[in-house]
Parts: sequence; structure tokens; C-alpha cells
Amino acid sequence: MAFFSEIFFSTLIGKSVYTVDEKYYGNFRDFIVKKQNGNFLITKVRIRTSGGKRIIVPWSDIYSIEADPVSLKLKKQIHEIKPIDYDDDELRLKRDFLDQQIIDTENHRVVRVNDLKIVAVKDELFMVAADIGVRGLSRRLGFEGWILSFAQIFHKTIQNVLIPSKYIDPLPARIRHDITLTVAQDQLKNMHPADLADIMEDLDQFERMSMLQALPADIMSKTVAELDPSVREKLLGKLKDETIAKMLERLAPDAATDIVEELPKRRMHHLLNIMKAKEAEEIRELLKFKKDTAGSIMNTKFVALKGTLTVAEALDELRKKGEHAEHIYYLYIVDDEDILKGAVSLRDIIFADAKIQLGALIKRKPVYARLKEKLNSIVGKFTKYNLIVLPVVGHNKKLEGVITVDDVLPLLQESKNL
Amino acid sequence: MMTFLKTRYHALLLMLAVIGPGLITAMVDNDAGGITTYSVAGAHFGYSMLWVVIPMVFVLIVVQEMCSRMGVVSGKGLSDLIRESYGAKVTFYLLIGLLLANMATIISEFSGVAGSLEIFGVPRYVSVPIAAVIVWVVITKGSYRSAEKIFLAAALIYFAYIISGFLAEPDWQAVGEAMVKPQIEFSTPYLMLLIGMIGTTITPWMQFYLQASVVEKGIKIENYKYTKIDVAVGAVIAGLVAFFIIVASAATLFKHGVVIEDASQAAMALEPLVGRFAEILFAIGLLNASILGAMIVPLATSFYICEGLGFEPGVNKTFKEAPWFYGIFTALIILGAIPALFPGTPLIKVMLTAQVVNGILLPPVLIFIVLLINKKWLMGEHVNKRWHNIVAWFTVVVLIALSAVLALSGLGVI
Repeated sequence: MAFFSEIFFSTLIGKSVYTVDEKYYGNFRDFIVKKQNGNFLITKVRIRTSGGKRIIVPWSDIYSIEADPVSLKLKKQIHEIKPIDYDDDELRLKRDFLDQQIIDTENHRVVRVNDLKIVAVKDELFMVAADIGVRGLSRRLGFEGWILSFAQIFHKTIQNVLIPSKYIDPLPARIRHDITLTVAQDQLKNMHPADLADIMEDLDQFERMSMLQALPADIMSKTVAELDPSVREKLLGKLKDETIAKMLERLAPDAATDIVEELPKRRMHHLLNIMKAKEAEEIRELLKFKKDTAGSIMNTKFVALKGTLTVAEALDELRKKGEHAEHIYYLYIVDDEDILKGAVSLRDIIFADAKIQLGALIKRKPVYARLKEKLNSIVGKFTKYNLIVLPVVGHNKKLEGVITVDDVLPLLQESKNL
Repeated sequence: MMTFLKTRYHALLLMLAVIGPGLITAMVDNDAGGITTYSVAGAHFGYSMLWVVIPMVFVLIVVQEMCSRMGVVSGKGLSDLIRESYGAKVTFYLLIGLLLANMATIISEFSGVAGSLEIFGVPRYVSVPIAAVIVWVVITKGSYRSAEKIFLAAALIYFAYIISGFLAEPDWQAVGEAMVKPQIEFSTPYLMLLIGMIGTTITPWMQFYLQASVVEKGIKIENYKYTKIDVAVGAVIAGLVAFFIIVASAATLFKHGVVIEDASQAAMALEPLVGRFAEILFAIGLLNASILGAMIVPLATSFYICEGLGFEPGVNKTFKEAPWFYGIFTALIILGAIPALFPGTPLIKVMLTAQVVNGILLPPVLIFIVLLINKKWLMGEHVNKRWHNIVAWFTVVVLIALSAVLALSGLGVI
């Protein structure tokens, strides 16, 4: 068999297809591909016959792809050709990739595909990269040679801008063609929610919805929390109350509160009513606090232990309670009325004698914020004491919650920019 | 009763949230080219062209309803959809055509700025560069949302035309008769102007702009009914403004046989007939229209070119992130402003060229719109209904016929 070593997909479209006995059969239309170990393997070929019918033949029916002039040759004669269909998990290069937008999972962005690079390995063809550069565009327009020789005058070459196929995820937009793309989008599931949010901000509403549905529930919630508020507003407008309620239950109370706060009052109350009572209560508590105070950004999931516990008992407690806390770097020591007495780091506990009481490990008076303390003063405490977590206290120094450094990071950045 | 009031109140709020794209698009519709064409129509042919306004509004509603529906359902811009369905080559040449047509439109906008401010004694060497800088800064440094609010507020100035229409004290009975009794004069200037009127009102770039702003607003399909109202109200207001400009110029200039070439001449010609106040109103209206056009046309053009060719678009990005977008936008403003600096620039010829190129491009764009909106995989249950398709194709055929006549005459064949 004679195959090129590499070729651009666009140069094949519309080229003639001949049967084994050199008779004109039709024109090449499209390749059908299947994702296999991060590569897109070409499995079938779509041809428009001279009679105008569009048929699909298996890749194994192709004898060769000639270079000059570009054409395809089949292994069979006309009467031997049996059209087949493609499977649910297969995609079409021309319809689903060429000219479409794809997700570049390496750089977390959405790009438009100008061309596709195809490579032959033995008898098999693979789509190995998407061309998103100006050179690819000029090839499509028929200017490539022209532009290259123009660049040569200035001793410059124009490189193809390629995205390797392992970093390509097709967009769920093609569900419009009734294809389920959850199989092809496995890359997305391994990405950080913040990166997913970046991608989602580039997408249209329909694509955002389909992408969201393809994500596991946990990641979906975190991604929504990371979105730009204006994008989130549009997205939440399209989601059902039940879906949002489930999502909020999964988030840390402070992140959930940030989202709920942006909603219209009526919807906010309805959501809190249909949520699980415990989670809704936590959000309601946080909503009471004025924006830009410690109370509004604090997290109510923390570990507080009595000072009378021994280190061994404390570690036991921690294993039970710690799973739900956002951070366990610091354990807060409280008395019977939940009054904050001090903080002990996990490090202190690990290196301490198992029989010692926690209260004895407290070294100094704890640094804390009051519920109504303003954000800039809180940011000041974080920078001054190099904190990771800051406890928040209410009346009589009763421990109410904690603020973690990631809650104030955006504020730090803002104050730097000013 | 309370719940009734509450739902009514709720509906009103929703409507205000959705409204905007249709209204703004219609406002920009009456740009320098539009105002000039309407005033020339009134000055040269009196009330006899008034009847065109009604079918014009109808066609505007039909076409723009399809674009906004496509925007709401697909969430994508028109050039995105054309690229994805018809490939790179078709998209590229279509965009090049649009670029040229819009270039000519932008020149006429800046000429409108020059003409209107000359009435107040500001030389064009001052007014045009300042206007260009203002446009550039507002779009690149301001946010799109605040710009949109400015556009909507500025649209109120269009009432100036309605006032000057009344100031001109037209013969209302004759106006009424002209509206319901269409009379066509089969002379080349009359036909040319008639086609020019439609050509300047229903332009290709507007369809791209409308769809993009509907997408940008993120309107839900349940609230699409309000967008329909938005589009219809916008088209009717655009029609009203056109109507009053024709009436004002017909009642004064036509009666006294004043021949004009552009809108600022119309404003100046109004002064001795109906007074300085009418002249000022007319000039302010033209200035507002020209600046609005000079902002939105370059913005829309660079936006859909980037979208279709896969360059990063967006006013919220930095120059480094979106070099093509800012490059095209800036180049369009500079190249649009320079010709307007020369007093010898034949405004009427520039506008005619713009209308001809737009006229040639309108049919393919409309055909793409109708083809796309009938695609089941894209629109789902919101594809055109049968009667809708009949109306749409009829409109397309009429517009193609008119554009063909306009293009041929513009090229000097007829």
C-alpha cells in the first residue's frame, strides 16, 4: 500500500476516488475517527458517489492515497462496495473538527480549527494535530504558497500552529448532531476547576450547558464557583433550581454563599427552601453578615477541640471530624462555652507527647478577627502574621468560623493592583 | 389583584432586562447614510416616497426577527455559524466583502460628523480627528455595557427629527394620502433613491451586529417574546424617524424647490424656511447618528471578522490578547476618518458606493440566514414555520431584485 507520511486534511476534501480497476467512483468527503489512547484513529471514509449518494466505507477498503494528483484508490470494484454506518462513539473530521471550535486542554482555551494534520503509521492513519494558525487558514483559502514566498522575501518562515491531538477535546456543541461526547471529553475531568472555568468563559451558552453536564457533580460545582460572576449569572439563569440546590450543597458554605448572594431575592429564598436544611442554615447564617466583613467570607466548617483532651484523643477526634473541614493545619482550642482559647498547629500535635493535654500546647494568645471586622483589616492580619487560617469570633470571643488564606488571596491581589 | 400586579411588574422587569439589542440596532440604522437618503428623498420627491416606509419596516422586522431568534437559540454569532456550516473559503470572501462595504459606511459616518459640526462653525480638521479619538477611546477603554447605555440614551436625540417634522408644518392630509396610496415614478433617480432607502436601512452588518448583541445579552428562550417586541419596536421607531425626516424635508425643501446633496445641506437649507432652531435640531440629530454609526460599525466589523476567522475577539481583552481585533478596529477608524478630512470628498458618491457594495452583499447574507434558520440540528423546534419561510424567501427575492438594480445602476450599467 502506498500512503504519504503526513498530509493536511483540507488537501484531501473533494478529491477523486477510484475503484481498483481505475474507474472514477466519486469524491472524498470526510474521515470517520475514533479516539484511541489519546489519538484519533481513522476508521472509515465518507465518499460522495458519482450518483450523488453519500456512503461510508471501512478504512480497510482503501488501497492507497496517491500524491500526484491527490486521489484515493479503493481495493474493490464498484459492485463489491458495501456501505456501512458509523458508531455512536465515532466523530467526523470535517463536521466535528474542521472550522469548528475545540478545547485546547493544555492552554485552557477555546480555538478555531483551520486544518488537521494526518499521519500514516504503517497501514493506519491518525489525526495527530489541529492547525489553528494563520498558515493553516491561508492554506484553506489557497494562498499558502503565495504567503510563504512573500515571507521569504524577508527571510522569514511562517510556522504552522499545531495542537497535538492528546490536548484536543471536541466541544459538546456537536451534541446538536445527536452525538454523545462524554467519551471524547475525558481530558476535561482531570483539569482544575479554575482552568475549566477559564474555558467555560470562552464558550457559548449551549456549550457551557453541555460541558457542565459532562462533568462529575463535584467538579461541576467547583467550576461554577470559579466562574466570573457575569458568566455565572447567565448560566444559573438556565439551570433548574433543583440542580443549583444540589450544587450548593456540595460547596463549602462560604463559596455557596457567594453564589447565592448574586441571585435575585426570590430565587435565593426558594433555593434555600429546597436545599438540605443543614446546608441551607449555614448559608443563611453567613448571609446575615454585611458584605466585606469577616462574617461574610468565613467558613463554618472547622475543627474545634476542648483543651482538656489529650493529644492522642485529639488525633482520634481529628480523624473523625477533619474530613469535612476545609483545613486542618490549625486546631482551635475552646472551652465548654465554645470560647476561643488558643490555636495549636497540626505540627505541634504530631510532635507532642500523646498523653499531654491540648491546653498545655497553647503558646500564645490567638490572633483572631471579629465577625464585623472589615476585610482590609483582615488582609492586614494575614500579611502581618503570615497566616494560613484566621479564626473568627463573635460575642465573648465565641468561635464562629475560620477564614482561610485562599478566601483573601483575591483581595490581596486587588490591593496590590491599586 | 395583587398577584396580577405582581406578575405584571415581574414581566415588565424581565422585558427591561431583555430589551436593547433590537432598539440599538434600529437606532444605528438611521446613520449618516440613512438620514441623508431620507432627506434627499423628501427634498426631491416630496411626499411621494413616504409609502416605502411601511413595507421597509415590515421587511426589517422579518429579517431581524430571524437573526435574533438564531442568536437566542444557538448562542453563536452569525459569522461563527457561517464558518462552521459553510467553511473557511466562503466565510473569508464574505468577510472581505463586508469589510469593504463597511469601510465605505464608516467614511460616510465621519463625513456626517464633519458636515454636522460645520453648521456650528467647527472646521472638519478639528471635528473629525476628535471624533475619531473619542470613538476609539470609548470602545477600547470603556466597557461594552456602559457604551450600550450611552447608545440607548443618545437614541433619544432622534426625537429631534420628529420635532423638526412638526416645526415644518406639513400638509397632514397630503401626508396621509401619500402613506396609503403608493405611487411609483419610473425615472432612474426615483428608483435609485427608493433602492438606496431600502439598502441603507437593511444592511448586512446590522444582522451580524444584532445577532452578536442578542448572544452577548444571554437571553433565554422563554424570554424570547420580549426580544421580538424589542426588535419590532426598534424597527417601528426607525420607520418613524425616517418618516419624519422625509416629511420635514418634503414640507420645506421640496416646496421651495431646494436641491440638496447631503444631510448637512438639508439642515442648512431648513434655516431660512423654518428657523435656526430646526436647523440646530437637524444638525444635532445628524451628529449623534454619525458618531453612533462610527462607533458601532467598526466595532461590529472587527468583531465578526475575528469571530469568523478564529482570531481572539473582544473589547474586554488587552491589545496583546486580541491584536487582530484591535488592529482591524483601529485601522477601520483611521482609514474611515482620513477621507472625511478632505472637503472635496464627494459624500454622496461615497454613500452610494457603500450602498451598492452593501446591496451586493445583502442577498448572500440573507440566504445564509434563511438556510441556517431552517437547520434542524441547529435550531431544533425553533426552525422557521412554513408561512415564515414563504415570507422570508419572498423578502429575499424582492431584495435581491432591488439590489441587482441598485448594483447595476451604481456600476453605471443602467
